[in-house]
Amino acid sequence: MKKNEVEGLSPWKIAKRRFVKNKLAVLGLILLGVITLGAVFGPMLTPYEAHEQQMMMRNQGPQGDNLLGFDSTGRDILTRVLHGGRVSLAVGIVATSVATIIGVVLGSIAGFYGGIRDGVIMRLVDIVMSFPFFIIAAVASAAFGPTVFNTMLIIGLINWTLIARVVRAEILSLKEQEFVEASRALGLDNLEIIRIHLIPNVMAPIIVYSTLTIASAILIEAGLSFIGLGVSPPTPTWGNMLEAARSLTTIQNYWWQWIPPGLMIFFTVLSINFVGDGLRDALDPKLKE
Amino acid sequence: MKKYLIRRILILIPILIGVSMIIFALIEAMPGDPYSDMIDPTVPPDLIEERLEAMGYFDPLPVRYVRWLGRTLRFDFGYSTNYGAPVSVIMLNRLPNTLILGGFALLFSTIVAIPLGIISSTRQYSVVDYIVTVFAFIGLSIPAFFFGLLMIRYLAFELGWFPIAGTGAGAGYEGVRMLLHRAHHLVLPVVVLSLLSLASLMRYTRSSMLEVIKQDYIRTARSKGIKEKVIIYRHALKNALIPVVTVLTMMLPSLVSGAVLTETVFSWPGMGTLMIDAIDNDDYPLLMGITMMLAIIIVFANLLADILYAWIDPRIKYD
Repeated sequence: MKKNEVEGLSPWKIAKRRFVKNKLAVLGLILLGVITLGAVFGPMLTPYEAHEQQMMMRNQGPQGDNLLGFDSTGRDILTRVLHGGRVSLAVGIVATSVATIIGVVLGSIAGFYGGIRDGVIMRLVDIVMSFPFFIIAAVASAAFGPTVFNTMLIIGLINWTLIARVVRAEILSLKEQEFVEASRALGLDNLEIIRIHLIPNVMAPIIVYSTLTIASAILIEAGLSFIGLGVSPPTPTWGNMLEAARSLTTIQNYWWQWIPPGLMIFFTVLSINFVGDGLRDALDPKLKE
Repeated sequence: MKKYLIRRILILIPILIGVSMIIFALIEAMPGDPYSDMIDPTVPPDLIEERLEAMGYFDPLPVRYVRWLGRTLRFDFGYSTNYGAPVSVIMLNRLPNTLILGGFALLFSTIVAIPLGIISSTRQYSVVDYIVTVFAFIGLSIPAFFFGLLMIRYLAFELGWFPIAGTGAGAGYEGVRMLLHRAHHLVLPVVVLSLLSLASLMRYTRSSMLEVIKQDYIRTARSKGIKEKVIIYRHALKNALIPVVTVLTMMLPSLVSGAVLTETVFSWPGMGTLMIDAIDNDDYPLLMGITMMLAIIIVFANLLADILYAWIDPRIKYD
């Protein structure tokens, strides 16, 4: 008879197994995949262009093969919702990348070197955390102009503190361990130790918190665009499509103009939160037995 | 304790200076000068230039910052260019509305979230826990202003249960009827603003309780035969609520941010709508005053959180 072979499992494989077992997380991942595919390929499939105005169809509701009707200037809502998904998702992802890079760099410097550098960086974190962040974002966007690029940058620049704190705390405890001592004995310099040995060990929390940051970035973009200080029209985003609902007439009579983009934000953020939560449980063996 | 307090308060100074410098620089970066919207185009440009010169508009940024700081320390936030009144007066007019909205939202989310969090942790993986968790996820994921719009569409327009907008002040009622009338206007905005803090507070309470219930002293209490209710509410809850207190005050910045959107959706005359007004009208002194005021509120709330934390939890070391 064949001997039972015990297959070795890498930490990532264990995490993957745990993740797949989490129903909500898998559901979130599938939903997110569908939304992303829709945003990327959807606009190519609809018979309209995002900026194309049909004067006769202004404020017309869904009819026949037109699923979601038209907005106040006669543009097709479905096309704009799909198109808006590209912008909203892009803002979420780019803003989060900015936040993650800043957070990881500053967090690891603060945690590894300590002393004055730690003091300065942590005060900076305190300052940014005591901002009424939404208000600062609004002011910054009013100052620099409501473009896609500025919105990405502004959201990234105010959202890095959580990641910086997590990375700092992790590195603070990691740097006392023997393998750091060993790599120093092998002649690695500080930068190499941080890059090769410390950051890969902090990867799990970085992934989890980046995922959750995408969700909050999408929500902030939506809020900013809603009050006219995020991405400005005619570029459609889910947030600035909701701006139509600042008129009570639209709220009352034209549901198809604002409920679809709102639901898209909700489902996207919900699925990202499910995935993020699943990742947290999967990657942190301490959390669940 | 005293030493800790003094040190903690001293840290506030550089933080507030940093916050104010960044806000000041941002507002200075906004296009247009304070007069660009209010002056008759027939006024000769030289005269405008002269006036701007006289108020120090062309001085270097640091000089203007120091001057602004000096005035602010004396509670002089300058004049609003749009309303033609002192910024402090305008803010004091609007602040109560925001405090009422925010205060009730905080109260409502605490009253609902903590019991739900406890129930969901004591019956981990039960149906109740599942429902509470899903509800929390929904609350964390739906944009609060979108939720508000849905409430207006269905509960206010369709069913007519609640008023659509405003505070209900000035309806001519008196006494109890006035209170009821205003309370009626308060329901939807408070529910909408509470949503996010409610959801996150629920999650925190749940995980904090789960953590505490696993501890040895709870097992000891159980083995002594103490009633489960007493264990949960007398022994576990006290310790579980310690981190929750911090979370409660840490939610303030997001509550302030949420207030901007909630006030916009419900045309609530508070600091949030005032801020959007100020942005739309290039009313820089007012904008500066509002942002600083909100930042100060948040910074002091954080201080309060730290003090509370140190006071509640004797395990915290003060040095």
